[in-house]
Amino acid sequence: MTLDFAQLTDEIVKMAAAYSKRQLTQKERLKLALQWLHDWSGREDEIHERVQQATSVQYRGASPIGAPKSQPVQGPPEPVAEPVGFPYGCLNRLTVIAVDGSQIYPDPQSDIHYYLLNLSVIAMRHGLPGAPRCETRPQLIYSEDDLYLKGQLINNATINAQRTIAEREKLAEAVKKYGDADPVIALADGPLLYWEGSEAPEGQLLSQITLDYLDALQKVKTSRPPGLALAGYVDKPTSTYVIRLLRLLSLEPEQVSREALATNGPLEGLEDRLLFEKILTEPGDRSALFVQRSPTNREYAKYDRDLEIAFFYMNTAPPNRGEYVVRIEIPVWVARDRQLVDEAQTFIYNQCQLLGRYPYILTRADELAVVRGHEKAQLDNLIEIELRKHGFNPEPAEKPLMKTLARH
Amino acid sequence: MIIDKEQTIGRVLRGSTTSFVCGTRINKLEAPQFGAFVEAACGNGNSQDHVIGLIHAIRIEDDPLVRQLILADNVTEQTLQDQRENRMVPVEISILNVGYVHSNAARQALPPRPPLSLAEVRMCSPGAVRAFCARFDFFRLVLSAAEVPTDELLAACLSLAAEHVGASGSAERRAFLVNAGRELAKLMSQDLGRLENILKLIRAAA
Repeated sequence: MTLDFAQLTDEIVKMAAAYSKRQLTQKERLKLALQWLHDWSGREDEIHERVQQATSVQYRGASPIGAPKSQPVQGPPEPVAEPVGFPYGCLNRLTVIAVDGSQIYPDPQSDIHYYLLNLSVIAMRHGLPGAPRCETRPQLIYSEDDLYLKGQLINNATINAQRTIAEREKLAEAVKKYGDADPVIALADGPLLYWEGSEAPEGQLLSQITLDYLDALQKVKTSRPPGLALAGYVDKPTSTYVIRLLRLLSLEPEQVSREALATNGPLEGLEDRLLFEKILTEPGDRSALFVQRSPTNREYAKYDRDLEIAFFYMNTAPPNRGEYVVRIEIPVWVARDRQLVDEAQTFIYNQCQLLGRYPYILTRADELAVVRGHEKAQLDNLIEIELRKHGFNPEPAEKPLMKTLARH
Repeated sequence: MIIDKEQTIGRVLRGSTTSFVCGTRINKLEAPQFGAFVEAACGNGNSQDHVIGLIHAIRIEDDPLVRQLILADNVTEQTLQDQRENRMVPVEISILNVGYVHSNAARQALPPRPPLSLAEVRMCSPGAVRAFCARFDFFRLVLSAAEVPTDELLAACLSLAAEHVGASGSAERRAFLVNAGRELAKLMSQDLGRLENILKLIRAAA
């Protein structure tokens, strides 16, 4: 053990005091945010106009959908401060399909460069006989063209992007294969709106990857027209889209500028999740539907208006267990159809009840896809044996070897 | 020994000359039961030699996901089937070695070597059970086994074997159980309490 805890003790005490003070400030911020949200609730058309005006100053917050002047959806507009209750008890007949993926990144210190994508599918057909269908498909990537981009070993962000595209393509394939009974819900782990911020692959690749991703999303959309509810489940969301909206609404129109929107002003530090924990107080409640106004989402809408990504927050906690708010992302083709939204809300809530707060089917898709440490070691061994047969004798790198020895 | 492929119940996980453990899936659990005769190859694949054993314990392993599902109120049929048929949650079947077959001849003694890892474990066919139970020398191996519920195991294996000998109430079945009881009486004359308990357990099988 080399961490000197004696030196840290004072800092830990100070940290706890600072955290406690921050919590108090958060309460005040939350109170203010709730007040603003209620003030604007029911005025969705006015909100929409304010958002439109802010487009020129690169506003990147939420915009409610359902107002007559925004994306048209079925039914009356949903007030932004009102919860939408749990629609059905359960769905007796339902097909739900989830896809997940994992990867082995290339080891820059190894003599052998390769990477691996492992995709899993699970299809549960409630109301039909037979056990759920499970598939896994590993893909070993080792050609020089795939491994090196401009002479550099491919980076992890690009591999993540490739995996996400492959996941969407696999989902489209699985919906065609298993989605033969109504209704069909396809669930993905994580957001549907990708490559914002730090997750973005290298700049020059981004356009091509975004295009590939949109092609894959389009395949999901056309895999089962109409009536496929596609949703991305975002656990512990840290997004501030609605907080950014409240910041915008708190400004007078003449005050709206890029500089003014660069922070969330008095609400800085507050996340949407905390706000909606105060609104979505009943199990299964969801928020109104929003879209995020971002260049990426505009690009999605430009490709196909149906592919713009909407979202809602949802309380997935069981009864009497407080609030656990997650973000559900859905394409606009789903957001427009109230029945599909209701089905997604019902299914996700029921799935979360099996394991407490997280959908069972995503847990299983992850379990099927994950590549464990011992499996990677076994794969490395098999590759090494085959390479030796071809006269190639890879040497282990000294640095990780010595570090492992020292850490034991 | 007649091999019935349909009766494969799993594969050997680990073993010794006295016992072995078979791993299987939950959906394979209909055939094996406590006291049943099973067999597993103990050669290198070319040999027909195999070990004969008695199932003395069936253990269903859990994991954190199963423990979490126990707490859920409404577990759907699809979820149950997923857990039972798709997930790799192993079931362990413990088997006590009571004999072996070498050069087509059955012997009621410990085998010379254990079954190999991943060897198929099969239920013994009715004919094989009848042939093996023509003698009761294996009782001694059961009675001397450690950490095995020996009395219940003997009663269960005799009850199951009796089903293959003759129909319920038939003279053949009764004669088989009476002979088994006599053999037990010889071996357990020093412990009449235990003997009485085993006889009581097998009497119902007549």
